[in-house]
Amino acid sequence: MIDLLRLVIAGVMIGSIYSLIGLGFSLTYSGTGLINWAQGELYMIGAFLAWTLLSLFGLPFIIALPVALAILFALGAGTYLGPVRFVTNRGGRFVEILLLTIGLSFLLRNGAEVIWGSTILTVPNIIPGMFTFGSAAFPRLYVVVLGVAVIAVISLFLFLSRTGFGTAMRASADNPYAAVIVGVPVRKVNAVSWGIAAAVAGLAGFLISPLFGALSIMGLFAGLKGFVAAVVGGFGNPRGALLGGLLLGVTETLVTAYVSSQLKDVVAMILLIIFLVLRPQGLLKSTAVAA
Amino acid sequence: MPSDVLLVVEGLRKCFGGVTAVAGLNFSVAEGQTFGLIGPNGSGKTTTINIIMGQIAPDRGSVRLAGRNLVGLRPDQVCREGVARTFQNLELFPTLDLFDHALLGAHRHTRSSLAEGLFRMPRLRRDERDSRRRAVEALQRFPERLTPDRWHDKAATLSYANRRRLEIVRAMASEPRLLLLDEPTAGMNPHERLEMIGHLRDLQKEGVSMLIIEHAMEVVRALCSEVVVMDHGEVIGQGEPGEVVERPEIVEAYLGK
Amino acid sequence: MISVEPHRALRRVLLRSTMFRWIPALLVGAGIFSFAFSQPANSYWAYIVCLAGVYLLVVLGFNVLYGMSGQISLGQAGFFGLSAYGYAVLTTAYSWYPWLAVIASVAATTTIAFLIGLVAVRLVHHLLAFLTIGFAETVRILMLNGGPVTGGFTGIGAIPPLTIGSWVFDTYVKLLLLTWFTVGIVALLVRSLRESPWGRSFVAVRDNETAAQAFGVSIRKVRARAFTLSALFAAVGGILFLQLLAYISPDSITVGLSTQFLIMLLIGGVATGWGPLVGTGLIVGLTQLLQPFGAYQGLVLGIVLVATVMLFSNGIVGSLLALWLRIRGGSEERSGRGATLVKSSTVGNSKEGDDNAQ
Repeated sequence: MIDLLRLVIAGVMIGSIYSLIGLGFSLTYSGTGLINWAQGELYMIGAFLAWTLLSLFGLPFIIALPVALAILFALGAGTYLGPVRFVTNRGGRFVEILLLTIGLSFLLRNGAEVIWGSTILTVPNIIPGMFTFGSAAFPRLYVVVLGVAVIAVISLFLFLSRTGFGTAMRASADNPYAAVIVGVPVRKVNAVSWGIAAAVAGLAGFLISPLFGALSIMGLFAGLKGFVAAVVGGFGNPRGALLGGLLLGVTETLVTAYVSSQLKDVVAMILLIIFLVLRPQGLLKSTAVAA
Repeated sequence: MPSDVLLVVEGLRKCFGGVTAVAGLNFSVAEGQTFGLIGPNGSGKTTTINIIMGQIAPDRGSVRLAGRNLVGLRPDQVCREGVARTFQNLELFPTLDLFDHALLGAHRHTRSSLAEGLFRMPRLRRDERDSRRRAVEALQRFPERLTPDRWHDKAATLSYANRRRLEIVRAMASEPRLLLLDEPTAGMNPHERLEMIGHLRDLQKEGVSMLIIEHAMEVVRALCSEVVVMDHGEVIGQGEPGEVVERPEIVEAYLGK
Repeated sequence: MISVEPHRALRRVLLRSTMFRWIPALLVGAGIFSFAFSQPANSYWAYIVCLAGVYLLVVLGFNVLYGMSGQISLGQAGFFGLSAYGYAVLTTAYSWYPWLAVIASVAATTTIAFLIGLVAVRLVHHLLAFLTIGFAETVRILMLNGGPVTGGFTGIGAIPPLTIGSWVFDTYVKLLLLTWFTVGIVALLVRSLRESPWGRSFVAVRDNETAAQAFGVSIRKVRARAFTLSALFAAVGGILFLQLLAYISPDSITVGLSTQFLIMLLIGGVATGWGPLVGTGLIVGLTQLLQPFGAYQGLVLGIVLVATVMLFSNGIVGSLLALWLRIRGGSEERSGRGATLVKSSTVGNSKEGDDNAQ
């Protein structure tokens, strides 16, 4: 019983990473109706930024974190303002942007390998030690990431529903033309949503890098699982991303423990297939569904 | 001479959330008749056609084509029963040329399978021959406008009026028992409209049964032997167009039309 | 009855198709043939050209799936690899007769694709794209963890080659001929498809689902069949790939490979007749050129993909065709300056390709 509980908690913690990445997917989708396929790679960039800033430059965490977030935000917003807008202005829509961001993810992945090499880099852990819960022990870092995920989701939810900017974001997603007429700076708002999405995914990578290291291909699986988290929870729905990620994390951990550790990565795929076939709209309400 | 009843719509009802789009619609179209569905914008006319075509499922009611109930069938199945339509907002195939549009119109008559298509088996050759014949015949309905040398131009190169004609071509290539026309002259200038009336009159003479949604009263008066007037989903009048249009309540609904 | 004019128009189209289709095809065929006989049995270049042919098979299928029916799949490598593994396992572990193994593997892969296609009806672009990735990744992981049967990460080697009578396909040149012969057949099939009711219904579904349905096209059947057909070609490619490499490992079923197929099709020109050939040739050539540069290879491919989407959305062949259309000129209407019809996303803006022929 304690074992099960311990596994579930571990699953929840690993799931929070998926939640953050999935949150990024849902954010750009609900904000601009587009998907940034490179969310996983942004997570990976976050980890490399952690190494670069903390290990290479030796900056203190207090400085490194905001710098990393700023860079990530710029990456996200820049992607939108640059290539994405270029394509949409030409008449491109969802599919073209999907292909574009697939290309970007490919670029980022290989670019990271060119820049940082192909061996895994280690990042110093600023929150070392274990957090004991009865007889179970979890890395303190995991708890922090979980906390961050929950806070991120809550604050984003509040941001979207309570603040003026959040309302502007929802308006420009709903009906960009009307939003423009009403005076909403749609371009800026969209850039911000892409920026936040990138920052959130990168934050996950940044925080968890002491435990996972930094590797150019880590974004591949993480992105996939983040996507699964978003789909399971309801694509476009921030709370859904949180729920989906935690669910995925728990399922993964349980399957690893009780069935086989080698099938860990298949769990995400199977969950994805099950949900896409049986319940494409996810657990909570989503904005994206069938044709 | 119109004799047998072809289409019977009974007790049709459809609500979207709180909005009643169609409320208890009843009418019938006889074989060879041109029937008009008129009314102000938002009165439920296009919804009715969408229901007949199977694109929307009604909450209640039935739609019978020569006795067979169409409700519950998918649009492609309804089409194969012999119903063809044009769209109010032009639903053409952007990357296809005129000839392909006509060929697709004739699609419902094809019987060959995918494998037969890949290996060019006899049934495919038959299908292609028949489809091509139907396509050419349909395209030749507009000899001066859609000339043969343009048959392989993409639909995107057409002018607005020609696109409307292409919609008719595509619909006629399917040799339908019932033709549903959703605002066939929308956006046309008076000259083009007159031309279209002439073409639709030709169809009439061929004995094609038609259900027309139209705003332009000259089209309705010229072609329809009977109309149903809808407003906010309800039927507010039915009968001969010339007579119906004069009724005060109809005039009121249109506000001076 | 049918007047003379339509015949004239159709005849002109027939002439154009001869110019653009048969003559280049004969040239390519002759080129491949003479190349094959100029090479020593196992030369490096024979290997490369054969590999290009193998990939071309997959891309031709992908063109049917994406170019014709508009469905994005990033899992073609999954069908490719599954079929290869099928053959490998059946012939090594269970000593099946090679051709029987070919039939079984291809049939099994195609069936799975059919099932995916059925599911795909209800899925919007990104969901389908991710589903196909999910599929390909699942295949890879299962092959990786299949224990002694699938050989883990080293895969399966010592593959019995295909034979026809006493002719054994054990050299690169022989495989090259076999592969490109298959390419020729597949290309003919695809061409035939485009000029058949089913083929037109594929394109109709891509262009406008609502209209397609209203004229008798079953969306569900079209989606499923497009997937099935594309997987069939990918599966055949997988078998030939296996013959070429003489071993298969999970490394051959990567998202990177699926992405490469996408790049090949995009840069060649989606929904064009010659796009796949041009794109595949280009990318295979590029990857070989960049082989010594390690990670830069992937980087360049990524740049190519981004640049293609941003600047060359019609692909090479598509752009050339658009250019030719504009040069041909004619009336303002002819040159395509009518208001855009496109409401859904464009798979390239003005594509003539062989779609227009016939």
